[in-house]
Amino acid sequence: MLILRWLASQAFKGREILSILFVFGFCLWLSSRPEAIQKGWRKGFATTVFLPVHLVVEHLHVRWGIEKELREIRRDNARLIAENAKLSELADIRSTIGEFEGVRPRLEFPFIGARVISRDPVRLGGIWILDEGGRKGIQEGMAVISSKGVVGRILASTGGYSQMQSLSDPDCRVAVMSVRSRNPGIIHSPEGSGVFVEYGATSDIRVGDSLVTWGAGGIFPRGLPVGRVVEIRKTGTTGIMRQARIEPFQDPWQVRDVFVLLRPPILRVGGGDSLFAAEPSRGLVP
Amino acid sequence: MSMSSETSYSFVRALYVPVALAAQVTIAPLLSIFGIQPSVLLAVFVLFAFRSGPLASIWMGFGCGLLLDTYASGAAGAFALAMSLVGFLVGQLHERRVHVGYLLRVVLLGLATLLHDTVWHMASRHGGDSLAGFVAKVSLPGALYTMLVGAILFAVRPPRQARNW
Repeated sequence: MLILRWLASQAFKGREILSILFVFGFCLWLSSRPEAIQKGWRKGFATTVFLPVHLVVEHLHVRWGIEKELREIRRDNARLIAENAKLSELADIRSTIGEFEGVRPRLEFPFIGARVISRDPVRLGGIWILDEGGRKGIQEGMAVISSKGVVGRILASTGGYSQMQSLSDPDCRVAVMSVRSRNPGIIHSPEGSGVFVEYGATSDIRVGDSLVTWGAGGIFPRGLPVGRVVEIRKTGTTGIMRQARIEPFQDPWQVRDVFVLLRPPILRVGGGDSLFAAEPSRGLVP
Repeated sequence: MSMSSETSYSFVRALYVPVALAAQVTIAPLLSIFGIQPSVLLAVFVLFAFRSGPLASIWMGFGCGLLLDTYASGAAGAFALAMSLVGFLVGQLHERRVHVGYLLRVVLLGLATLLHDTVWHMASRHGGDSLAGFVAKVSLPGALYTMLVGAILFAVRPPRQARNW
């Protein structure tokens, strides 16, 4: 008993030396074990002694990993959305140009492409803003078309922008004629709710007729496609005028890219001085 | 029954090293310059050894070293051995026994880092041939960087006057 007590007191006195010797021995023994045994020890430590630490580390690792991955995914997603928007825009422009290529050889006048950058999002008609202006030769009174038909006309232009009056604007009037009967009428859009054609009771205009610009007024060249008659209405009590609802070839809601015909108008928009252009009689070469 | 301030302080002090270990694996990589990282763990551990003496430092170094060995590659036990040895040696300069000035503490931290890396390198059985290159290219820059971190740490935590020198 005395010996044990003596040994314990000596061990207590030399506990630092004993500790470092134990650590030395254990570490050297562990490091000299084969790789498989070391792996077993690691696994054992991780699942027993260091289990709480292991769980915290794993949790943090997974959490940080997921958060990092989420950040990267969000960043990639934003980049892909931006790229997709850019490619969609390019595809859209390409599609518009492709559609217009069919019309181009029949146009007698030079034209310039423009994009609608502002319009009334609620009403069909109104004034639209195009992203090209006087710097590219766009002037007041020039016709604006798409690959499908008439869109409107230029009201005013500045250096880089221009204002366009759409075909569906209540103040817009366009002289048209039936392709079938060559009888004339006037396109207008009361309250901007729809597009109609007014014509005399004796004019031969029927449902299904295609309407093209007549060329009168000097704004639109003759022969630009406008729309198709879908419904005939009787107006007034005298019965001398009739009205038909037409469906524009170019849906006003879907217009995005347009082409401005660089053709000086015969008359300025809004009256005033007349201005005669050189041979502006035909828009489409037959 | 309330703990004495010295006892509660010892408990808090014992938490420094595990916290430093967490900082080592999370913050230290962010402080990396040309691939050289400071050893926040060693800086705090050396401070702990100055404050707590050899016995506590041996076992604290052993525990933290084993934890590092568990998750690090290389021979198991190498970190435990290196940290225990550093704890034992630095712990001999316990504040209650010897007064070590600020600059000497920083220098000792550098030496402790070199010793730690050397022991780890040898215990990991990387071979004595590559030791010189390892010390010159990895350990020495790391020790200097660790001294910088330690200089800040020791300035924030100055030695306690356990005796009236």
